[in-house]
Amino acid sequence: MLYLGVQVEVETEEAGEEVASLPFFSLTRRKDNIILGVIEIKDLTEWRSIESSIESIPGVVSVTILSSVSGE
Amino acid sequence: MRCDRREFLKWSALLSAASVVGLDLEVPSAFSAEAPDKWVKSVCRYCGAGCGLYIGVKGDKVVAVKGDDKNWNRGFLCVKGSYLPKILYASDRLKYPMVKEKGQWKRISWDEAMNLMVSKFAEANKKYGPHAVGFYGSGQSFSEESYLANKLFKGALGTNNIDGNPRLCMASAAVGYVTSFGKDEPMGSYDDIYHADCFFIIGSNMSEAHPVIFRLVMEQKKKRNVKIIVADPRKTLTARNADLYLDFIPGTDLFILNAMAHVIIKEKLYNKDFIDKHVVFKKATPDGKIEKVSFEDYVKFIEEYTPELAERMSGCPKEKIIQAARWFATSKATMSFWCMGINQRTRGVWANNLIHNLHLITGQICRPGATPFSLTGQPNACGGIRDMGLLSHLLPYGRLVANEKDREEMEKFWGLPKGRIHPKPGPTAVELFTKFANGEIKCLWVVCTNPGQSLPNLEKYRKGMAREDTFLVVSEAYFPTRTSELADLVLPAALWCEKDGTYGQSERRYQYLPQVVKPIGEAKSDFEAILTFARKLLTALGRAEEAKKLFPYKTTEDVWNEMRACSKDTVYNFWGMTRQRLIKEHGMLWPVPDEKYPAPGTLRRYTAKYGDPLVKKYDPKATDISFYGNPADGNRAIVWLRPAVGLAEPADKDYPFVLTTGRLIEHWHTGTMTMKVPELMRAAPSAFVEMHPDDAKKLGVKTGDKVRLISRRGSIVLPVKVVPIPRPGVVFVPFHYPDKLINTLVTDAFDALSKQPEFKISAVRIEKA
Amino acid sequence: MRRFLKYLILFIGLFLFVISTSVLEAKAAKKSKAKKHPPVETEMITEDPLACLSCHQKQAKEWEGSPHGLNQVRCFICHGDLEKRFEPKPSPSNCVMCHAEKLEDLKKAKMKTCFQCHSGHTLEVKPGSKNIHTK
Repeated sequence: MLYLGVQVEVETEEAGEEVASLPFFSLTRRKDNIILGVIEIKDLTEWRSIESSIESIPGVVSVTILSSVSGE
Repeated sequence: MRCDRREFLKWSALLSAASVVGLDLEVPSAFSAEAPDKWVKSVCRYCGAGCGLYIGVKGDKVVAVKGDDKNWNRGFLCVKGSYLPKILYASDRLKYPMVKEKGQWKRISWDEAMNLMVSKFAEANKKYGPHAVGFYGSGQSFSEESYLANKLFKGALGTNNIDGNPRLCMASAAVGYVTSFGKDEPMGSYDDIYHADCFFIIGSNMSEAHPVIFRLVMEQKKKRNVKIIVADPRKTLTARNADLYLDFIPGTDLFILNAMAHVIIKEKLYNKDFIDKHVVFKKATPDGKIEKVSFEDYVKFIEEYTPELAERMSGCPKEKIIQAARWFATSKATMSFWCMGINQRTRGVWANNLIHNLHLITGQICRPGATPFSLTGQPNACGGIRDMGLLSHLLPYGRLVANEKDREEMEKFWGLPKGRIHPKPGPTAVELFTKFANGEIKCLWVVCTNPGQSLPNLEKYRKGMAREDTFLVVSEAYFPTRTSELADLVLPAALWCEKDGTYGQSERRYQYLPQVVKPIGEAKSDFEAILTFARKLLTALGRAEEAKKLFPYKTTEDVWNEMRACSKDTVYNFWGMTRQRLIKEHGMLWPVPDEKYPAPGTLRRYTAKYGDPLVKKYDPKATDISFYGNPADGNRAIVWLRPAVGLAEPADKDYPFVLTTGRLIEHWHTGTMTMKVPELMRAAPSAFVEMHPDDAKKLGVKTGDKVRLISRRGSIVLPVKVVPIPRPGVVFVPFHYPDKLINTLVTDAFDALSKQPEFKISAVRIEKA
Repeated sequence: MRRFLKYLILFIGLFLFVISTSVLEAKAAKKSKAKKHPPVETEMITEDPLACLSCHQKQAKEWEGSPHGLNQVRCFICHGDLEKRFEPKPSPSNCVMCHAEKLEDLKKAKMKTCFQCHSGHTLEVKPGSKNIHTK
């Protein structure tokens, strides 16, 4: 399992709320237009589909992995 | 914070990411959907359905709830239960004791509050005797808390001036069960819903008042070909789901119930074998004597209650009454549900008896799906007040104040001198507040209830509570309420999961609620308050040794163990429900005679075939069914010949409308808890009067217009809601709103047997305002 | 040496933070207001049990026949009280009180919301949806 520290930049309040309440986005913290949180994935192919699903939310500017921790 | 490896790895990832953007991780996120640290098994704070749930705790705060999928409610909660966390953190939580001095509230310490209370109660006791003080308890207190109050007042002080708010809602059902079966409480359980083929719902808006139980009924409607009969003067959401809907003039249900029995007898749909084996017939003569009569006498008596007569008196078409009777009698298993429409009546006990009669003459009882099931309003009216005997005529677990043997038994159990327990039943709710109003009772302690909003004919009793020369103490979680505003002293009470104890709900399921967070501010559990008060009061009366002997407890478990022992030789016997078992299980249904008796306990009473362990003990000769609560009549149930009589205050030419009060799904009782939740307030923000379009047209009003309702006792202005829900001639007002005290209009006439007031039917006239 | 590295990392982090906040401030100007529900009468005394019906007939009718309608899970539960909380598209965290297990299924499947498979209000499963619920 990979635990990714992910940053999502948003440009609207609505997008911010939607991103922060994504069920698989845990320990979310908010600072202005950035939402920080952790996503648990099995491998990078899983990440690609998650990344595009977050990017498809209207108002999302960018999705960036800031850190990663691996463990079983 | 959970410290398992997975959480640790997640936090590592977050910390790394946060350090890159320089984010301060102490800032709480308003949008965080993260999980609580732990989930603790508990029970909902609201109605008598008693849904199991898990409380989500994060640090020292309750942040969420979720339904307990292993309990009877299978993980579901209603809209009220869903928002329980919000009630704990309302800004008007009472955080410290306060005393009223010269009309102003002053904060004092618990010691000061206790000393003041003790001195007032001790002085009254010394000057005027034991009956100068009183206690008004609640079906929302934990059983252990009510037990302490009961022991203090009836046992230590020797007064029966102790009653509880179930007098206002369940007394008729309790006396109904006792008069029909010898002992209180339903014999069936929610499990019967899965087996019933016909549901008879009368005087209950289950869909809004007991939503999760109703959910189970509706599920059966979807899965199996069950029939639902609903009888109600309002075409409620419940009624709209019925296969057969009986609409009638309020108060005429006695005619309908007797007419159903008439049809069952006439069309030979009764079970003669069952009647011969398990039933006796009785009637009460006009001068109050009880007479045993025969089945033939019953047949003769019921002859006049034809469906034609019932139609004439009630306005309900006779074809519907006949259909209801046929479905009731001929379905494989029939389960009845009823609530305040039947109980809150001057003939509430009789109405209860008539429902039991239908089950008894058809044999629709004591087997899966066939049972008369009384729905309870409060979460612990059954466990804490009815079963534990807090009401002024009761002693614990089926014992009566008026019975010498029962008094001796309790005196021995509690270690009291013989003759300590007062032999005369005490005043009931309305009588208690009347005595407080006329100064006979000098000191009254009201715990966990809101009589300043919920009593009938409210103005009279509010004036009484506001009396200058009496002393009123109110233990409450919020300030102000319509009761505490009248008090001399208020004590901050711990709320729900801020304290631990036991609740017993409608189906005899006792459940343990653990303490999950600390009480807010200086709030204490009522358990601690009552215990401290009991010890200090007895000491002040020069009985410190007695205080040590009667109140040696350290925890609620100590009291629970004493309660278990007290139930051991009664039909309630829950000796086998140790605290540990209740912590492990998802509630247990009594009787549970020993620790080996398997969970969930006894689903069906009075039947050996379907698992009542006490049939063997109390009626060893019985092969299956035994109403062992009534040994005086050979372990048989009683069918009562009850005539259909009128109301205390029917509509007349001066007051031509019937006012009925009741509940909405969004709010619970006097709204002190639900009105702290924004979503529930938004859904149901204010009081209204529900009126039929025909009546609205005659009056010349439309939805939103204001009208004045006037009764013989008071008047109130409310906006109208024009809907085809109440019958023409009937109006409905919810009783939840503290700013619209509808109970000032309601009659305080009460049932002679149960002393329960007739909240459901008062006469009003209506004018444009 | 270690201590120096630690301070270096902190400094880089701080530097990046300063850069990112100034970038954020520029972007903040683009931020638009959160969606607000149009004002409703405080008393909301209407003929219907759902005060929202007068403007939202279609959705209310769909809701009535759904499991939520039968069990009286009314509008404000999902959509908020319209003032402190207003969610035109409800967050799945609102569902935990009755559907905790289903929420876990959603998390495991890495899906965004229940409404990817369940239509709003009717709650019917959309054709072609994959069943992520094991029980």
